[in-house]
Amino acid sequence: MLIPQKHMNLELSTIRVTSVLIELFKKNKIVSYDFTLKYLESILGRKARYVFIDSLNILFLMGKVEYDIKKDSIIYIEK
Amino acid sequence: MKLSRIYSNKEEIFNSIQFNDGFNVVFAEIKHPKDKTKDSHNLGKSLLIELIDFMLLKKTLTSHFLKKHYDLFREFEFFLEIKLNNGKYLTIKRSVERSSKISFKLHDDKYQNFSNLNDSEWSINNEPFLKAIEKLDLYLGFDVCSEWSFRKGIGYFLRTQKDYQDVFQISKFQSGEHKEWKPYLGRLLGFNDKLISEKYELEKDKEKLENFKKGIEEKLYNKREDYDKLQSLIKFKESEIKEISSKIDKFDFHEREVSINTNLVEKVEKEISEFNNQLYNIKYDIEKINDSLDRKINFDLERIKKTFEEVEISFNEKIIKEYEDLLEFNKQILTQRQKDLKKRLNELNLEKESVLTKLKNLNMIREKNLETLRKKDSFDKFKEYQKELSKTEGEIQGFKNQLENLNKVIAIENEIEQKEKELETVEKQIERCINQGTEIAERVKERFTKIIKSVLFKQALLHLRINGEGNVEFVADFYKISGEKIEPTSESEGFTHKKLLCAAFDLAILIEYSNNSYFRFVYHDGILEAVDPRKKIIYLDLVKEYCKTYNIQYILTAIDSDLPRDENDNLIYFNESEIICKLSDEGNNGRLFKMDLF
Repeated sequence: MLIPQKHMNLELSTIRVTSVLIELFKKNKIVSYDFTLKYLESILGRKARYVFIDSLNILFLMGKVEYDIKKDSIIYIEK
Repeated sequence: MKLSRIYSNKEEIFNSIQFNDGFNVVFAEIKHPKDKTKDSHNLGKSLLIELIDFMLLKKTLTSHFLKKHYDLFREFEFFLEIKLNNGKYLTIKRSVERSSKISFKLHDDKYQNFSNLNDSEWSINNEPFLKAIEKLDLYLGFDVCSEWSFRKGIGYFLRTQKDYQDVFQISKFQSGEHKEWKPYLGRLLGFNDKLISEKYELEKDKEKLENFKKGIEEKLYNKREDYDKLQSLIKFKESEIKEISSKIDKFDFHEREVSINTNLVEKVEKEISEFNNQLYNIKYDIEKINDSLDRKINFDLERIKKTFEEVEISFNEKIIKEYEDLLEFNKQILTQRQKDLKKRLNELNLEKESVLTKLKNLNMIREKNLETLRKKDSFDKFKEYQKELSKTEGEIQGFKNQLENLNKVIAIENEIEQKEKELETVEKQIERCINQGTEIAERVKERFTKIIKSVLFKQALLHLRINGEGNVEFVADFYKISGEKIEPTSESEGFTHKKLLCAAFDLAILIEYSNNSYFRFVYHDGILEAVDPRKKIIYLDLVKEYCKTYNIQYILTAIDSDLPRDENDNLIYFNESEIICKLSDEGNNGRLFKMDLF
């Protein structure tokens, strides 16, 4: 995941996926779960979905995103 | 009126014939009895009677020998001199080529030859045919049956071989209607011809009415007894018309259409649109949820732990959340989210069903309203009323026509009834007249019976009776009298006896009117053929006597085998003076027209 490894595909690394998500959230403060996933897949391909949750987890740990279960959306927290 | 002379412009072909005032014979003799190639027929005996008929203004038919052999006779002009009852003579000129132009010359002396007379010398020149008949009627001046032309009765006095089939209905009346000759004959016997004519007229009128009635009845579907039914039907249908008309008058399309439009547009269409939006949203959400559920990512605790550890190592200072928070975040996203999505999916499906049902109902309402607007209620109904109106009007017209026709039929039936009553009256009158008899009829009957009795020694009666149709019937027949019973015999069925009955009738009439202005001649073609030799003597003697006594001209044609014989079977020849024309089997010279046979 975060720690680089010999066979890692850099295009699908958590750092690369997280950066794509940050770009999306910077433009849209609330984005639906589905749209977020579709957006990611449209940029990095279908395999990006396996890293999607890891990237969201990193952003959550850093306090950058939250999940609104009623709206089924990711909320970006800017500080 | 008697015949005096007949001649032509071609004397060398047709020798003139001068008639005696009394008894005349056109005689054909056989000069070469052993030559079987020749016979005494076809010499022209019968042509003479046809020629006389032509000269007495018979309408020329194509069957007449002058027309049939037009090329042979085209250049002929014939002249017939007749003696009028006032003692004067009249020459009638008629050519074959211009047979419809007749000339007349009145003169005092007999046996004239006017074949070279100039046109201007004729008393009447080239008179058209019908006018010529009128003129001749005036010249003849008959005082018997003068309402008719002389042509009506001439057949009885120019009896050809064909005219011996029936005493009264001579050949020219065979094909016509009885009204053509019965009134004339009735008058000749002194009866009221008007009654006989009236009977025929009434019958004709009745027949016309019956045919007219039949024509109307063919178009009638109802009978007389349906009259009242038809009237009631018309009244009923008229009330129907009133009802339909008032419905049509009250029809307000505008109001109806407007109310339907408002209802449709403002309520139903709006609701449908709202529900459609709702349905669209529901369907969209369902699709989304299904899509999300398809993209299933499983909750992986090891992976979460690993993520936390790696972030802790890499971004230790920046970590804000605890591991437990991360665990909760994952549960929400991966597990709780799916449960909620499924629950929401169920809700949405129920919602979708409800909206679909509502839409279905609303669409039905809309459809119904549209149908009402376009068809059912207003326009269609109006059209229906109009159709019904015109159908009912047509029916009424039909019934009225039927009623009118029934009225006509009833009126015709009344007229027919009236005619029948009149017919009955006329029939009774005719019967009364016949039963009463007339003086003329009595005398004619008596003479007729006497002639037959004298010649044949048999009882023959001439009488009138009413036949099954109520018409006058003239009967001349042989009878056998046994006691008080009179029975007809079948003797008149024989041609010879029938001929003598005809001759007796003609003579009886001539005698009756010998003092009047009427025909005073009779021409009997071949009267002696096949008659018993002894009867011939008696008959000829009787005829000659009548000629003298009653001033009658009698003309007969005979061949030498017709000559009478005395008791020793010797031929009794005619006097040379009696023979007005002698024909023979000596080639062309022996014929009436001295030309080859045609």
